[in-house]
Amino acid sequence: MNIWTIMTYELRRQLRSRTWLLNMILLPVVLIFLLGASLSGVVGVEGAETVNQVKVAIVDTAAAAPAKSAALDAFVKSDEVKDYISPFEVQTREEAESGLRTGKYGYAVIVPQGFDSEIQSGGQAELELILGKNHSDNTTAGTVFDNFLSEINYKQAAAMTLGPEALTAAIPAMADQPAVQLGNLNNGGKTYTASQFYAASMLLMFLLYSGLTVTSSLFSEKDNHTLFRIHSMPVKGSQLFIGKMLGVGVITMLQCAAIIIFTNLLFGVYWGNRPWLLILFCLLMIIASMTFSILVCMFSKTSATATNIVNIVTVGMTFLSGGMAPLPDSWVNSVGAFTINHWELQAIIRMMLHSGFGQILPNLLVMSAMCLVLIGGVVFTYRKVGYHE
Amino acid sequence: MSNIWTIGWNMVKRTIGSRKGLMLYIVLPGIVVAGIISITGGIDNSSKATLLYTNLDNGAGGRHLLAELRSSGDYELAESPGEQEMKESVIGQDGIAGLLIPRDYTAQLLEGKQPQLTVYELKITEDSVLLKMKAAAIARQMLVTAATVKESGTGDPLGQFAAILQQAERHNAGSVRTDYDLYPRQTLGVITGMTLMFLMGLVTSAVNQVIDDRKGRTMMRMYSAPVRAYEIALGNFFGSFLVGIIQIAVVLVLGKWVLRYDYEIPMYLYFLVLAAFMLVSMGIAGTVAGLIRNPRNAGMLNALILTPTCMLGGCFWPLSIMPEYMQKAANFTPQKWAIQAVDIAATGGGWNELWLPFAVLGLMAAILLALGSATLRPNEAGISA
Repeated sequence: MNIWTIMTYELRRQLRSRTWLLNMILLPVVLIFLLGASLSGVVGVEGAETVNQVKVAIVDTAAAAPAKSAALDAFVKSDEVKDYISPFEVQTREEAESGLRTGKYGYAVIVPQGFDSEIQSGGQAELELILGKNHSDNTTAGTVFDNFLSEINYKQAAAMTLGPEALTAAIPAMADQPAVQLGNLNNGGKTYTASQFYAASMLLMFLLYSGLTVTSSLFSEKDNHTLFRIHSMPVKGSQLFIGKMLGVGVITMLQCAAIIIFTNLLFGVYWGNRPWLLILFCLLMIIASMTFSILVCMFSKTSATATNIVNIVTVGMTFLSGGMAPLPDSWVNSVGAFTINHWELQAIIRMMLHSGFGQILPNLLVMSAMCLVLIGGVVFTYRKVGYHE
Repeated sequence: MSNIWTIGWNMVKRTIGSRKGLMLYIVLPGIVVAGIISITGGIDNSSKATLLYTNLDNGAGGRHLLAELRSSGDYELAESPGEQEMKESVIGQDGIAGLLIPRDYTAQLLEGKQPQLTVYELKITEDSVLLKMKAAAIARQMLVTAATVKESGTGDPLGQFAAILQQAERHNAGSVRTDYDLYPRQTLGVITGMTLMFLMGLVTSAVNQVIDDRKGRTMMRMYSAPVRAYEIALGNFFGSFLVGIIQIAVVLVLGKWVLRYDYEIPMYLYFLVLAAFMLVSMGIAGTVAGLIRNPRNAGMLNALILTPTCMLGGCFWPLSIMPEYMQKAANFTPQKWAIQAVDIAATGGGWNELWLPFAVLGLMAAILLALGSATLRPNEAGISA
């Protein structure tokens, strides 16, 4: 009964404060909006992509017109590449290099003497490509010239094998459909998009951050010296503690549900075919993050310390599980396996992809084990340290 | 002046004077940021991205595609026995992407059909986008070659096709890439982003101390001493700034001289960028703390600002992948300007370009700090809910 009173009071107190309302409704919505809006562009990356034109300095080392490369000249002025590069003829290599350094050009190509004749006679020829200041410009221009070279390469190979007349007879095959399609990782059900990955990883990060609620709840009573007064009542310490944690847990669950439902409705994020299992995993995550924060609170004297530790651990674990920036594959499955996020993220993604229950079970077991250890830790330290002023 | 110094110094001593404080505010952040640096910095020079593949084709086409991808030197190829196993490995993040070459790929090409390769990816990364582009380019060339072979119509098409591809693998027309290291490394953005996010979180704790002072009525007592309100405000500001400067310095020294990460920009510039950014975050934290009447919620609300602005400001992913209007919105976050300043400096830009991000950061800091000190009202005791 006491637990119930304390829990409802905790709930009421949190719900009544304006900050809390902000936190509960605004934070999820803002996060979802940002995720949805910023990553929607990523999902449609094959579609209408606006690439900045790269200014390419072209240095033809051959002095006179006949030795200059007509093939390259025709290529850089063709329609198919004019969206990607704009060519500039430059006299010397030095000029091109200084242009690259000042940012006048984004990329430079040095054409050797007799490039065309070498190619036609079946010999070898190399273009020198000099990388510029901008990473994406380098990639764009590099791809353009790689395609040019590979086309020459295949044509030369065809001419050498079939004889030069084969080329003139060849009709350029029109590609009706893209040569590469994006596979569906799914085992039936809806198509998986990459934004689902980030939605899942951000949900987990948010749930970890909710551990801050625990620290604020536990320390507010101490800091306001109301803990003394509560202890003068016929309430057991454990009842107070459990009640408070239940209250915080309910709030976090509401937030979690809000995120899942809103992302689904507003941005069409599909959370998988096993709602009950998803709820179970979210619960495990909430338990893990709360028990961890409780442990931190018990071991730290001030709320600033506790907040700091929770912050660091949250960012660290999200990062190590590969939820933010891409990490080398070797890291994700070795160091990442020590984070809660890793197991949760994998499980949620498998649910999104309709994997069989057998594949999710190990994650469930690992998470349950982690939660048990953490709960055990909390019970043990509570006995030792308790919740006093 | 001496009053300001006393208050500021006291703040420094309170935060990092004890062994615990030193661990928590100096050593721990240093280790975390150093860890981030060593992990992401390692991407640059160490392992290639792993590409999983399943080749169901037994002709020259599939073999050629894999040979070309391998010779590009960007991927470590790993074979999966079947499509289902490959999907499972992709989900398990064993590689950046999975490539499926369908059954009878070569035969279909030579029949004039357009068979499709399939790429599986768990999350979109630059690597996986590049892989798709590369595979598509090779496949298109093979399509054209197959059409040429079919058109010439003499002899054994399979043999000719294989011979042409073999010849093409010699790369008679090739390229050498000359790299003067003019561009900033990809990881620099990630490292800067993470460092910024981290700094912002740390600043919160400094402001929390001011709130603690207010709540513990210590402020009231301070007023009974011969100090003025502005001296207290300046002293607190000075103290938090000093702590932040020490944190930045430790993080940078660790990264530069212990881990030997090459920041590619002069250290003093990086330091300046971080310091300017820290001023802005102090302003944000102060303003928020002032607006929130219940001091305990201030920390939580900072999380409300920290994560979204970091997302929007490009700490987690490059700004260029976001839609246009989001990039415009990003202009309002200090992170964007700090990252831009680092980018400009890394590409060798001088102060003629650098002044803009610094000016924006300075302006943000000035406005927010003014707002913060106006709303923080240190002389009022906090009302706790």
